[in-house]
Amino acid sequence: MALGKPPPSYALAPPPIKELSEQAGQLVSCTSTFPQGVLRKEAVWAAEETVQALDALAKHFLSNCALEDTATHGDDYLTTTGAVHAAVEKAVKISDSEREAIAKAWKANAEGLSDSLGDVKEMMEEQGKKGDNEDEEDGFDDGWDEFGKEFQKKLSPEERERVAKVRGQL
Amino acid sequence: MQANLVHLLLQIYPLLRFASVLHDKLLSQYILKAPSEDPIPVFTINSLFTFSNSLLVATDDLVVTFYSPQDLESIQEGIELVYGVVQDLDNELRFTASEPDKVAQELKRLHLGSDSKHLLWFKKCFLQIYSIYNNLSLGI
Repeated sequence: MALGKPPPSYALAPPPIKELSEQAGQLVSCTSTFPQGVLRKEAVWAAEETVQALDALAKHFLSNCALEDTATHGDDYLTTTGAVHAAVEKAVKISDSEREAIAKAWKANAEGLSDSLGDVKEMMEEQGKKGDNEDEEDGFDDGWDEFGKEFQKKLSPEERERVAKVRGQL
Repeated sequence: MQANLVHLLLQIYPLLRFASVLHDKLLSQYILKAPSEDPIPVFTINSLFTFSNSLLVATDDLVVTFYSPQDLESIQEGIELVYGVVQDLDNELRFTASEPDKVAQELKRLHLGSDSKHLLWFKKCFLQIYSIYNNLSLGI
C-alpha cells in the first residue's frame, strides 16, 4: 500500500518491510525444525518459493523507486504481489505428515512415469508401428485382465503379441 | 530409427508399462490405503519411496536413449537400470522368493500385510517384468 499506488509513500514503508523481513527469516528457520525427509523438502521448497517471490517484489519496488518520474509507476506491482500471495497460499497447504508428503510426491512420480510412457508411445506411432483400434472387436484375450483395472486399457497388437509370448513362458 | 531399435522400442513399452503399474499398485495398496489400526511405519514408506524415485530416474534415462543419436549400448544400460530398480524392490520385499514363509515374514516385518490375493498380483507382475527383460536380453 505504501509503495504500490503512485505516488509512493516512502515514509510508511519501513515498518511493514521490517516485519516482512523478520517473518521471512522465521519461515526459513522453521524449515530446519522438520526432520529429514520428504516433508522437509516440501517445506524447504515452499519457503524458497515464498522468499523468492518476496525478493522479486522488493526488487520491483527498488527499481521503481529509482525512477524519478512517478508517472512510470504502473500497476505492475500487482503481479509480483500476487506471486507472493500465491506462494504463501501454497506454503500453508504443505502436507500434514511425512506419509502425506510421500503420497503426494509418489503421485508426481507416477505422472512422470506416465509422461515417459507417452513419449515411448509417441515414438512408436512415429515409426508407424501403432495398431490404433482396428482390432478392437476381435475378442482377443490379451491376458491382462487378471491384473485388475490398471490393465483395462486396450492393448495394441504389438502389446498383445508380447503378452502372448510372456504368458507362454510362465 | 533403425529396424532393430524399433523392435527394441516395442519390447520396452510393456516393460515400462508393467513397471509403471507396479508403481501405481504400491501407491494404492500400501501408501494410500494403510490400515488405520496397523499403519505402515514411515521407514517402510520411505524405503518404498526410494524405489519410486529410482524408477522415475531409470525410466527417464531409458526413454532418453531412444532419442537421436541412438546408441545400442546406452539403451542396454538403460534397460539394465530399470531392471535393477525392479529387482532391488523385489529383493527387499521378496515377492518372488521361492519360500512363501520368508515372503510372509519379510512383509510382516515391514508391516505390509500378507493378503494372498495381493501377494499373487505382485508376484505375477514381477515375473512378467523378468520375462520381458529376459526376452530383451536375448534380443540385444
